[in-house]
Order: sequence, then C-alpha cells, then structure tokens
Amino acid sequence: MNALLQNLRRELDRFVIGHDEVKEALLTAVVCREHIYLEGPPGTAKTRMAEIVARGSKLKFFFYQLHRDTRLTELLGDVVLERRILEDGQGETIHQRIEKGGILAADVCVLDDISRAPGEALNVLLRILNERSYAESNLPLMTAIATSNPHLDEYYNEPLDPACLDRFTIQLQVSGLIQSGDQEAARAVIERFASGTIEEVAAPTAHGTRADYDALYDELQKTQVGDRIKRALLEFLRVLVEHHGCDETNSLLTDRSFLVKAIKLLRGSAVLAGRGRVTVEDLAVLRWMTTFRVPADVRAEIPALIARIQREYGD
Amino acid sequence: MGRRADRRLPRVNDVDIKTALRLALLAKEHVYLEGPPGCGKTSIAADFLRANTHALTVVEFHRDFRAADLFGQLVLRRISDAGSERLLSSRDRGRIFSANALLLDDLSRAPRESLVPLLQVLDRRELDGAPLPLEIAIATALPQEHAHATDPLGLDILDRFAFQLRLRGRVVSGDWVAAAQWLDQPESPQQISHESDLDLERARQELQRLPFDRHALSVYVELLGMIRLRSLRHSSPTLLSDRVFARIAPKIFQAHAWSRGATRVEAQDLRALRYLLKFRVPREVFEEFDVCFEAALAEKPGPVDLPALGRAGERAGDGGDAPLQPMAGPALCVDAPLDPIQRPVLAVAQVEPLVSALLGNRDRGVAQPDEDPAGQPRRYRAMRQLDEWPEADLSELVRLLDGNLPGLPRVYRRERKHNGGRLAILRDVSASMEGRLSLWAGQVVSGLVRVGMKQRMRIGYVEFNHQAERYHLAERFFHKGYRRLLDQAATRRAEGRTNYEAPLRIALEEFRKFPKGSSHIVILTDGVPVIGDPRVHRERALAKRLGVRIHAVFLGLGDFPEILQEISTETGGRCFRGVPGVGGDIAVKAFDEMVAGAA
Repeated sequence: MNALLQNLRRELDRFVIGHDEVKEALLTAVVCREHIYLEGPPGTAKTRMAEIVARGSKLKFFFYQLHRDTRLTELLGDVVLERRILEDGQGETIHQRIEKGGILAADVCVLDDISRAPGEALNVLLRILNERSYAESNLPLMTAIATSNPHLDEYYNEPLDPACLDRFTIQLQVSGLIQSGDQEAARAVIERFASGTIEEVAAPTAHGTRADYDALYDELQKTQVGDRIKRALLEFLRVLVEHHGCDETNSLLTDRSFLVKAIKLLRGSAVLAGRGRVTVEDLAVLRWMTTFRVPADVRAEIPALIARIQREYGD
Repeated sequence: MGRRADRRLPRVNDVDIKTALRLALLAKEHVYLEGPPGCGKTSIAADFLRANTHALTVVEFHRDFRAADLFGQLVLRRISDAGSERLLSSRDRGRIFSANALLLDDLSRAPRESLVPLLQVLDRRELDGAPLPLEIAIATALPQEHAHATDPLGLDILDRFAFQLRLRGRVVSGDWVAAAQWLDQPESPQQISHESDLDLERARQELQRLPFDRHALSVYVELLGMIRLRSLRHSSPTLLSDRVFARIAPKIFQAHAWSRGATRVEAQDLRALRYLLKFRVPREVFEEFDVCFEAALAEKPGPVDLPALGRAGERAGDGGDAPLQPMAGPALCVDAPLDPIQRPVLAVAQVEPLVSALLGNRDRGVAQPDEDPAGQPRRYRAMRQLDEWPEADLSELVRLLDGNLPGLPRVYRRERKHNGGRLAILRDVSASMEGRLSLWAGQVVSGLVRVGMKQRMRIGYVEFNHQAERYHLAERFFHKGYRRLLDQAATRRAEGRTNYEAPLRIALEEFRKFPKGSSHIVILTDGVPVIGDPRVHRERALAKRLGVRIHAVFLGLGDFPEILQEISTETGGRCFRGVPGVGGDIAVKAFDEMVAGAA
C-alpha cells in the first residue's frame, strides 16, 4: 500500500480497534474523492474515525455538528453585506454575498449527525456536495464524511431521502463491537481503556499534504480497468435488475453511481491494494454501494452475488 | 451537428433525445428534461448546447435564486437636483443579455416568484424592451417523487417548454448496451466546444417556408382530437394549449420535415408530436401515442398527391420573401368517433367522499403552506432575532444600519407546502373477499393511492386475514413508492379468516413513530373479526391517544357492522360503504349520508 495510506491506516488503528471494513471504506473514499455516509447507533466510533481521517492529513479540515437549528451560513462561511458607492457618487449598490469558509474552503469535511439538519441547510449542502461548486467556482473539497444515527423513534431524526443518500457513493452501516458480538475486539478495547494508558483526546499525527493526495489521485486515474471487469460490473447490475426486481421505485441504481462512480471505486480499491490494474477482488467494493440503494432482502444476497461474479469473471 | 456530441447522446427510453433536442434548436423552442438523479440529464443538455450554440449560460437554481441574478442587479440612484431629490431605478445588464443558450439546471428548485418572470422572458425573448439573443433553453428537473424539498412544477409552468422529455436510467431500465457504452467513456470527457458547422439561421428560414401537405394537416387535426378524447377518460390533468399545439407544433413539424430533407410537411412528420406530449396528457395516453397516430392515419387515408397548402416552393431560393405564416390553429374540438380502447386492468374506484374525510377542509390537490425554513420566500414577516439578518430585506437593513429605521427590518417568511400526512391502508384478504369483493377492494386501494400521490402523502399498506402482513419499501412502512402500491392493489388473494387486531396494531405502532402531521387509517373489509380481540379495545385507545383517525370502508352486503361504526366514531373517523356502480365498478359513499338519505 502507498505510504500515505499506510500512515493514515496506522493512525486509525492507533485510536480505534476493530471496524476494519469501515476503515477500509474511509480510505477508499479519500483515495477516490467520493463522499461517504456512515450510519450506526451512538457510540460506535463513527465520528471518531471520520475525525481521524480528516485530521490525519495536512489538509484543510472542517468539522460540523449539525443540529436542528443549523443555518446554511454556518456551513458556508460568513454572510457579508456590501455597500458600494457608484462611480458617479450619486448612488450606491447593495450586495449580500458569502465570504467563503466552512465547507466551501475545506479539503475534507465531517458532517456529524447529518440527518438532524433542517431541510434548509441540507438541500443546499447536498447540492454542493454533488456539484462541488458554489456560486460558479469550484471547491477544493475532496471527501465529505457524513455520520448519522439510524432512523429510529428514539433519536428524533428524519430519514435522509434516497435521492440525498445517492450523493454519498459509499454507504456503510456501522455496528458496535459489543452488539455485533465481536468479542475479541471488544475485549481489546476494554483492556486498552482499563490499562489507563490511552489519552482519549490525543490528536492523530498529520501525514500527507494536498499535493501528495493529488499525486495519488493521478495514480488512480491511470489505473487500468479491463473489459472483463466492466462486463462483470454489468453482470452484477443485470442480476440486480432482472433477477431481483430492482427498479426505479424500490432502488436507487442510478447511472451516475453505478456506471461512473463504481469504476472509480474499483480503481480506488486497486490503488489501495497497490495494483496498477483493477482485478475481480476489487469488485468487493460494490457492497458499499448497495447498502441503502437496494431493498433489504436484496442486500442480504449481495455478498453471495459478488462472490459468484468474482468466480465467474476471475482469470 | 456536433459529431462528438452525437456520439455521447444515447437513445434512452421512450424518445430519441438527440432528435428532440435537434428539432428544438431548429424550431427555437425550449425543452424540459426530467429524469431521476444521476441519469445524465445535465451532461446531455450541456454537451448538446456546447456543441451547437455559441454562448451557453448555465443557471444552477437554488432556494435563494433571484431573477436579478440572471437579468441584472437593480441599481437605485439618488439624484439631488436643486432642493429636490429624485430616485431612479435601473438594471445593469445581466448574463441573459449575452446568452444564446440557457441551461436551467434543476428547475424545480427555483423559487416560484423568480421562476415566473424568468419563464415569461423565455417566452417573449425580450427584457426591458431589448431583444435577447436567446435561441433555446433546456431545463432539467427531478421527477416529483425525488424532489422532496420543492413544490411541484405546475402544468402552467411546464407549458412554457414546448418539448417535454423524460429520461430513464440506463441501469434501471435494463439498457445494457447503453450502459456498456457509458462504461467505455473516458472518465473526464474533454470539454466540448462549439463545432457545429450548420448555419442555423439559414436552416430556420428554409424550414419556415416548407408547405404543409393537406393530408398531414387533416391527420394532425384528427390526431389531436383522438388524444383529447382519450385524455378525457383519465382523471389526471391534461393541457393541450393552443399556444403549443396550434402555434408551436406546426413549426416543429416543419423542422422535422426539413431535417429529413423533405420539401413539404407530410404525415410522417407528425410523429414529432410525441416529444411534446409527455407531461401534457395522462401517462396512459402518452403510451398510446403510436396507436393513436396509426389510427389517425387510418381515419384519414390520404391521396398523396393533393396540392400542398401554402407555397409549394423548393427548399431555399424560392424568392425568400414572406415566409409561410405559422398555421392558424387547427380546432381542438373535433368530433372524432370514439374508438374502443382496452379497459384498464384495474379501474380506479371513485373515492371522493373518502378523500374529503382524509383531507378535511384542505383544498383538493393543494397542501397547506406552512412556515418552514427550507421554503421559498413568499412574503415578509417581522424579524424575531438579530441573527436573522441574512434573511432581511436589504433596503431596510441598510436603513437600520444608517440609524433611520424605527424597529427591525422585515425578513423573509419562508414557507413550504407540507406533505399531506400519513395514510395506512388495511385491506382484508380473508376468504370471504373472494371474487368481486377483492377486485373492488383493489379499486378502492388504487383510488386512495392516486389521491395520496397528488397529495404527496406517505402511504403504508397492510393485508390482513387471520394474520397481518405489512409491505414496506426500503424498510419503511410509510413511503411514496406509489407505483409499487398500485401494483399491489391489482393483486388478488383471498384466504383465511378476519382479524382486526393484528393489522390495526401494526399500523398504529408505525404511527407511534411519527407523532406529527395528519394520520389516517383506512380499513377495507367485508366482515367482522372472528380472531383476535373482536372489540379491539387496546387499539382504539392507542389510536385516540396518537390522534389517528380510523375510517372504515365496508364492502360486504349485509348490515354495516357495529364494531366498525364504533371504531370510527371513537377515533373521529368516518364510515363508508362500497356501492357497485355502472359497469360493475365500485364507488365509495359515506354511510351516514346514505342513512340520512334513506330516512
């Protein structure tokens, strides 16, 4: 693996035990410059991991905890009222504009508890995430990491609607080590905290500048995707549509996500594995794309489907 | 036209987008392009416009879009003049004055008060008395079921766009050939620049001179009549405006004839009409377009050699003076004979009385606007806190800062039409529902779903006999997957015995998660419960506590069951009875009114 990513992975491992899949997904998101959505119950290290990824690099970083009264301007920067006297001195123009800050100036941003944001902020926010431009200028934004609690009565949140969720190419459900029965990892966490040597507040060491990440992205774009892989991807989609009945009403199999971004994720997976070309192993990333995009019963079939396609299309 | 752009414009779903855009550009008409997220609407439009026009302006709509952002900022001047002061307003020239193509991205997000003046300008192509160089505007929008945050675009707004196209995703529509083509594209395609070598102006002059074949004209009139008649049979709205179908359509047929190199407009050019129909007629009628067209042709089998109307001139170089006037509007009301059409598989029950119970005093089809920070500024309200200043009226804010505004400035009162609440449909599928009752229940369900669709209600659906089965979409019980619900309504099964407790419990548990908004349950049944608590005491208490109204629709024959009356009276709901109507379909009548009528 690339040294930059190794360092980032080390930082993640230093602070958070277990959650290998989430860590891998976070690294993939950073490499691919795609947004990632982590949904899980409180206290499962979602925010912690997101923060380590953001702070573990020398990148401009914006963290925002969304809440019910979040105003759009808190996310975008400062609102400025500008009065300018006209050249002839006989009038003035009054403009309101935004002094760019927040998400408009960051390389990586963490949007904590995204489903709590009111529609006002969320609509514009998601649009910015999608277009990566605001007021006709492009943003430096690489990756947005959003976290949310599952939509349950007790959390008083509204579910994100599927179209909003589609902005997050990678989607994961995070579950706690204890609740998911990962006793070994849970034990390691308990031991660590019981020993009293861990500084909870310690900040991760920052590695890698924007230029390093830009170089990595160049590498990603040069990664080869063979015809066989493309056919495997199409077969995956064909099975979802034709055998599992995924359609516009029950699923979100958008062309943008599955014909453009899926390829990017496959490349990212190859870059993470230190390969110059995509192989069938990389198809495993597709499971992160289907988390909230297909009905639950279909989702359960995805790992088996990916395994079958990997066998059929393997060299 | 642009060759590279052509390669990137795939033939998607029901219309050939490429042809439609080309015709729109030739006819100088605007295009509305709707499609689900991520199906390439914006890139298709942008590529086409970049390749074929000179000055493209992209407008990305958002909640705070003001027409001034495009038209030019308002400038106020105070001019002191010997003891008096004059206040003059003018506009600096905005982006629209230099654009010959506009891409209106995400039209549905634009606030209505900015959109309406913009659309007028699109139509008239002039602003402040100055002509605009605008040739074509392409608007993209999400289908309503995806555009949760915005108000639906009305027929009046859509009518400003002559061409109305709907894109479907390649993946979901199973178009694997197109999907494979897309995978093979370079990831970041090169910026497309203007590369058309077609002299559009010359083409437009030529096509305006193409005469109409008499036969084509009578087929067109026949076809419009057929479309109108077929549309009348459906409840969804239809708008066949004279502006589009009398003034604009002929120009589009001319463009179509010109593109295929013909010297006059013939019946086959009328096929271009389908590019205009998508959101103007009910879905069923749109899908029958080809059938209608063939029927209209068969109705008016034309001797081909009738003299053409207007000037039967050669293409180009026939003097070049006065172009053929656009056709005088063919009359829309034609007494075309009613041809038999297939009865839809599932008729929709008349559910108006039920609808008024669900919606209370709200207007049909209009949800109540309510104050909402995500909404659009429709009016002003008083400022409540100083941190609301970014929302304040600018001129008043300036006066406040200057120290000569008594009190606080006004701020936008943002409001939004809230969705129509939640509805749970509980459908009895016990053995006694066999046969006609099951069909009727399905008709009532689809009637309710169609109303829910207009109201943007979230609907939950439960089928019950001795046990209850809930249907959900993406793990949500209440959802807006209306098409899925309509499919479910058409299924028929009848087995087991009747139990009210289980379905009511399921629905109420779901309502418990959503304490706000209007909540209704409609229970469709033909009998009384024989399993579970027959009096459903706990469920009645829970419904009262949650404020859920339970309405009962009794489809059986005998007396209206007392238990249903009790449940609905206690929860503030109403009772309805299914009454067979003409042709064996069912209508829903309020039970109390029937009783009063009988008395």
